[in-house]
Amino acid sequence: MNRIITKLTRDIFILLGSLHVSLGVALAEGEIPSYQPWDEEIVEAFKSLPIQQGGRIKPMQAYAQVKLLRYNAKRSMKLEVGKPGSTRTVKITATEWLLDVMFRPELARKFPIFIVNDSDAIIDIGMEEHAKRRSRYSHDEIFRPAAAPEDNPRTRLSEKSSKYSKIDESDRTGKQNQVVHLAGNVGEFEYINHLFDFAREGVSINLPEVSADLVGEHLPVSVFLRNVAAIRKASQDPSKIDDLGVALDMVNKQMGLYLQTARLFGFTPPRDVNEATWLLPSDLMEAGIRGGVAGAEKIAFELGALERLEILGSAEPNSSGFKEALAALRKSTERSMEPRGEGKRIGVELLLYRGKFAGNVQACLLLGFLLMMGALLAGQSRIGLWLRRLGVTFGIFALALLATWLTLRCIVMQRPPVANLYETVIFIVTIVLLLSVVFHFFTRRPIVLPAALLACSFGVFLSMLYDGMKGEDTMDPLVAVLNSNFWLATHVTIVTMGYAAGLLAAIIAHVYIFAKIFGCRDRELLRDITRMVYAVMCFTLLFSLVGTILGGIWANVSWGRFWGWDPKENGALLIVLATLAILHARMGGHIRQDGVHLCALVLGMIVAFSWWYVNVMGVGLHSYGFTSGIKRAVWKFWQIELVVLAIGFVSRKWCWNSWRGLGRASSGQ
Amino acid sequence: MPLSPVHKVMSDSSKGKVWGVLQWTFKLLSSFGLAAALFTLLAILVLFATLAQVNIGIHDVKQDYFSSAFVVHRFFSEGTGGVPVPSRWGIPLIGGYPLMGLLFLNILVGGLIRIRKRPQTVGVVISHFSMLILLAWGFITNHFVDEGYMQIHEDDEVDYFVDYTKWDMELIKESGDNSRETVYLLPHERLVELEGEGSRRAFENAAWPFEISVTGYARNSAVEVVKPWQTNMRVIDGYILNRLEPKMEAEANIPGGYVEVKANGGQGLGEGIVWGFARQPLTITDPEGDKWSLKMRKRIYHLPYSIKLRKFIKEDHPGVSMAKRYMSDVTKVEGGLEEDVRIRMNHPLNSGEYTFYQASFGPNAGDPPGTPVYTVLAVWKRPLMAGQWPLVSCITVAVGLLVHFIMKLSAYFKREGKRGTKSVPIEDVNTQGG
Repeated sequence: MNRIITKLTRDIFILLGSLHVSLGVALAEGEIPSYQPWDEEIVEAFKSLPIQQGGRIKPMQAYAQVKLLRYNAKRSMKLEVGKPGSTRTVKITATEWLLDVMFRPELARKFPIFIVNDSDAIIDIGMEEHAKRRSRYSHDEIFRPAAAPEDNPRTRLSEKSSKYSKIDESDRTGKQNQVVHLAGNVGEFEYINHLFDFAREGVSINLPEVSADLVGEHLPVSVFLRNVAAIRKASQDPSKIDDLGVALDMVNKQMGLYLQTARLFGFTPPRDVNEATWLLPSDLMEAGIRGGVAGAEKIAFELGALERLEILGSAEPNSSGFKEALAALRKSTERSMEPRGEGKRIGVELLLYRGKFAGNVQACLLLGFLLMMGALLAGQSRIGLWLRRLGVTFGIFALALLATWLTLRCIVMQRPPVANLYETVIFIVTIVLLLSVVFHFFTRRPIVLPAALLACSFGVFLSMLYDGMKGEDTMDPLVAVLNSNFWLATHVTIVTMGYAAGLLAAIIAHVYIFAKIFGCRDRELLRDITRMVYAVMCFTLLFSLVGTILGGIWANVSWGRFWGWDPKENGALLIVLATLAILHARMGGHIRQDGVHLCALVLGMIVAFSWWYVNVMGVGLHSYGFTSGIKRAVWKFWQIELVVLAIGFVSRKWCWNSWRGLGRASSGQ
Repeated sequence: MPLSPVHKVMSDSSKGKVWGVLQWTFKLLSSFGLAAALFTLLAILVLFATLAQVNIGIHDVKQDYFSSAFVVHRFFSEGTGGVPVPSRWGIPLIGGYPLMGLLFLNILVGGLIRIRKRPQTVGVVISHFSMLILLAWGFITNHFVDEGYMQIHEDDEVDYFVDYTKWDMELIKESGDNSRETVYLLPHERLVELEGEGSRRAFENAAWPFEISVTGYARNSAVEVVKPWQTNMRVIDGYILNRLEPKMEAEANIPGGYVEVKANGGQGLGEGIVWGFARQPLTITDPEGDKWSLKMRKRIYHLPYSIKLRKFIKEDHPGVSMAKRYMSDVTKVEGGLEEDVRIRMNHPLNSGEYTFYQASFGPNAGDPPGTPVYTVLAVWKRPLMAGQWPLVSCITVAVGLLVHFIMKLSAYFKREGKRGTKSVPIEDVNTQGG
């Protein structure tokens, strides 16, 4: 039997390729002639179908969103449906797209989902580029057959990608990175696309002498597995072995293909409640082949699970049969999860997606900012008063949404939401906004909040950009060393609050510098802003220092050393040192009002270094994952800040007289 | 004898000068300006040291930037074959030792001695005191700590740990009956001093009937068959010791050097290449017929007890090959006493001066096929209780800063409260300014 399995796994990619080319030839050209939307009930049921993927149990919607975001740079997509000249636009969600990819594979291959930012990558693999440099391509376009197989863009894509992959990522050109990225996405898409091939295609076999069931084409795999014991018995007769080998040849190839393609994620919780890993469809098939030798009754559990998947995969998409099969699969999965205590947080995760928090928070922040700017322009009028109140309300509403967003993530992940860059952005935005709201009510000055609303809006935009760029599940489990809720909740949370405070100090400093540039001569106001920066810096020092030392203690219990001069540790230390330098210089009278603000800008730049830049250096033990593309963004930020710093410095000279006056006034504090 | 009036005046004047200098020094050492300057210089040093890690690795950065008095930060450009080449000129920086030493004095003099002792400064004093503890702890761990690792296979028992980066040259006098050997060490610290071109050192010992000269020592090297064009290299039996660029991960360096052994009478007893990865040691027979062997090996630290690995357990996140947790079930064997312990991530074994941490496991891709399961424990030896210092200082610094900032905050609110009673409602404030 082992030989059969070994043989089964051979030549699978050849078969996959030929299968694909035959379908590709028939459907390669053209548009999407029509699109039948999925039944709402089916979409809802599929969305919440539990699967195990990436080390955790999640609803199918989570997988769909991440994949579509990765390929398409959006969480939903628009399709142009119909013949040229009479097309209509259909918008589909990520879940509907995944339903299409799995259950209407030919149709899904026509969807233009693969985003290519640089059309040079398309030319490089021998394809016709679209009119726009940045455009989306369908799988059928990439799989367009050519006169010679080596001219097929899909073949060229694989070849070029494997060549470029040997170059270090940081040394690759943009085009090379695009090719590697595209090849990865196309390859993964093909796996999803062929996931249910085993259910649709089944096996072709003709062994009437072994069993009457084993005759025909597209027989369910489960039927073949039920008869494994009979096949084995027949194989023990030396006179039949050659005929049996010929008859099983096609089955071997088909099963080999299914064992490779049907393994993206687990649908089936295992019988043994102590076994954490769910069974992939390929696991069910492999267990069927191995265990079936002893008789079908020994593999009843696997066969039952496989049959449920087969019924779903072979049902007419969107039909009542499909709906029933999906419901049966879901019910069976939920029943199996119950004694295992799994899947309790799937509902919360779905709520997280339903809430569309990033978009809603962004809307509130921008509205709040615009309203508060409107209030500034409206001045002392009644409209101005109401605009300001409304702006503050939107700010508070954004804060409430952010807090809910973080809380839901905490519940889903069962850990503090600060374990990767994406999460730290949301966390920092929340802290900055919280501090700004507190300052707003304590200082009775509508200065910090508008600036913070704008900065937070930029932060949320950054998180969305990062999410789209990475295209990964941001709630994936943690590596062993980070898997400590105590330290995440203490060290990481506290040090991240230090980052937030450092950034807030820089934000307020911007307000001061621009206020001065635009001619603000209200000494009382400028002094109040300085007090705010000073207070926020004290906050920065407290949290950065305690957070950094706690980090050292964590390193001490996990790696055996308190301090290793690792880039991330150094980054945190830099914030502490910079804050201490500023506060001591201020106390010694070496810097005054303007100096404090200029230094706060430098502090902001240091926070950017510590928070983002150390992750792209490619060295050190700490990492949320080294992320290319960030380096350029951080450089841009520094350049902008250097310009602001220069403007602030020059404006200080221009406003020399008033500065001296303010300096004298502030020295009396 | 009484001093003449002239003598007296001069003495008073010099005393005054000394006193003046002392006062000036005291003021300088305790000043905010010095504190701000030190923090700024330290920040600059840390920034450049962090950037330098990309090119020279963390081990060299620690040595060059933080365990030094002075350092020149060089920029790197890509040379032939992608090898980074340092710039000729660089930015001179004050190293970690003087900066941290001065900071210690500054905190001591300014933050504890000169500071006004008032209820308002309690928090600041506590924080400064905690920072002194932390700096002192850093000094101690930097100088009085041994660190290394032990690799144990299941059911094996090990009573020593191995340094990550230090390689000693080990000289063994082999006994005739294989019962007892005498071991001498040419320590790492002396060998690394011979890294420069042409450096040579003769090692002698009263118990040796010869002297050992080491030349051409390289921290990272490879033994290679000599090529026809390598005419200027020292060749021994057709092999050369090729000096390689030190690796970013210092523990991956393989050192080596040329060794020449001469009897005390000047007679040559042998020469050879002693290299970290050599399969055989260099063997010498002294004039009395005794056999000696010489080899490079990582420094070994012996434990007062042994550690036996009963079982290594690795648990992955379901369906992926990412480790969720891994742990070693070990037995500490001391005398006749056996103690079963589980060492896992974030839960080390503390035992006297030694602490054992779960660091890694194997077999890995680099191990030969068939290598049995093993665990790698990081081991630290440090003065008793030294591990608790950072925790104590963290708590006290947090308390100190909290006390100080709460006082400041309450003063601020009081001030704002007074101002608020006089001021106009929030909605109208902006209109005044604008």
